[in-house]
Amino acid sequence: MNLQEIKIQFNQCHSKEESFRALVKISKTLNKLDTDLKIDKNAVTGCESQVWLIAKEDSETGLWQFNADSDAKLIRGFLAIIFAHVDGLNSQEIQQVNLIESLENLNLSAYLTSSRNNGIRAIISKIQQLTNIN
Amino acid sequence: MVQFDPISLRQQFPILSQLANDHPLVYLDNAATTQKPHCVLNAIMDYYQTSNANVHRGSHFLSDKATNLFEQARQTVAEFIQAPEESHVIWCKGATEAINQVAYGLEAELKPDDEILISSLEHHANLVPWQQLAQRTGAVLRSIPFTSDAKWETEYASYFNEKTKIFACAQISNAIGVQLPLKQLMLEAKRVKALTLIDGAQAVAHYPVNMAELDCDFYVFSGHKMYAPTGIGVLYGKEKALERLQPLQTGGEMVLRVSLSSTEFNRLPYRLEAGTPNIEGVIALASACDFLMAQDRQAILNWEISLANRVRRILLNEADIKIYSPENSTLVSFVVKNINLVDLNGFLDSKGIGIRSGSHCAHPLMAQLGVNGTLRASFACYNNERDADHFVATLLDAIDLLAE
Repeated sequence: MNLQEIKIQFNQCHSKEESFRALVKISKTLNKLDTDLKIDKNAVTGCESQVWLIAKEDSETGLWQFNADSDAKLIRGFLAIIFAHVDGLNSQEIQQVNLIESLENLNLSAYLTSSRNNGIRAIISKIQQLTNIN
Repeated sequence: MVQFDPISLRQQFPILSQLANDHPLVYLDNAATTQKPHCVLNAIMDYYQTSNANVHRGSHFLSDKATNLFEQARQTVAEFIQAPEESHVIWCKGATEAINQVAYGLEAELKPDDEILISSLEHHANLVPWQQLAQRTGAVLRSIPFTSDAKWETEYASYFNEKTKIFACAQISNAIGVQLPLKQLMLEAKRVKALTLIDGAQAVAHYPVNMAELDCDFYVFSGHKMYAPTGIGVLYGKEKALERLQPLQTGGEMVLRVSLSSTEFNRLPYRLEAGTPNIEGVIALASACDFLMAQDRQAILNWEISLANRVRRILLNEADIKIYSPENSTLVSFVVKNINLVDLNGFLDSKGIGIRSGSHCAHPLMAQLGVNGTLRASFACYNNERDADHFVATLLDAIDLLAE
């Protein structure tokens, strides 16, 4: 699902329940991670549920591709939205994306409890940390 | 005694009549903290509007008024827990602080290889202070294992020996609602002359407790789990046991005479209550005790259990649900096979239902049960059949939505 489709989808949500259902729906678009990649090295700490995240930079173009998984569909939904924002960008572009603001604009701020919110923030920090290699 | 009427009882809790995420609020996280009735809220307001002053110090109109309310509250709480003597009721922030006071207070008595015994289903509050005490003193922390089929290890008596100096356990497990066989455990502890502490945090809102009957050396609980505010709790102790405690904190209020080189501590209960106390909290806690003592407590307990059993009966029919709490508890603690707790909690929350998912501050117990956590729906006096039914129906919807 691309960014435009995501925006349309979430702008139609008028309650936390509708947003929840939309997150579950979009979680199905996220590819699963192979079990052998679900290791401590790839784990995102600070999340209420287990999350693993991998970032790969194309050595020629400098563009990033992300893969991630979680045992929570809710988090998988957030991962799909986040990746729609940063997949295929270079390091500099990724640092300029304000993901928190984007999630708020999708009416997801009210949805996030502080503990889950911290989990999302941990995912965003991990992406910034992994791509900020220069 | 007020005759039990679930409708008028619920009306005494103003917070419950709101919408949560566009749905009527269903509050089933009572084992974490309870909501507060009008009388408790009014007690706080009244105190500040009519009686606020520091206690035990000044001799003026308001100081006398505040001190009287404060010390009357001690009598009320002593009556609430059927303690023989109100000076054995020590105010503290909550059960956690009370247990820390006991753990620090006994430090000088422990030697290397002494044993501190707990149960394996303790809340971290009744585990970490003992573990740290053991590390500071060279004592050994042991735990009576709780087997996964919800039966106490029949051999628990063998865990008590002449090295056991302290035995501490919960009255009721916060995570899975199991009641511990306190009578036998206290007998075993006494046989080996161990000091005993019971964490009553999960009990006092539901069960009348009687200090003479329990016959433990220390009993602790938090106000906020029994309709009182946060930041106030009780350490009850037998006189001889309390006298053995070194104060966790020193300063004002707890002294008789102070010179630059030495201090003579005050008598009980003040010796263990350094600093200006949480006066509003103490008064509000007494109000919560009065509130509970005026109720038909057996009827309320039956009601809470009937609501939990009502949920339990339906969940028992679901093949993918494993329940860890026993029948006739005031809570239901369970997992749903292959569905993440965060997801289930998220859907319930979106429908206005507040429950708890996670390890419930009991990591060793969760490890023993072989789960990361459970979902826990815990009931209080103001819950009703609508809460229970809405919770179950929404949970089943969530399972439909979230199943692969």
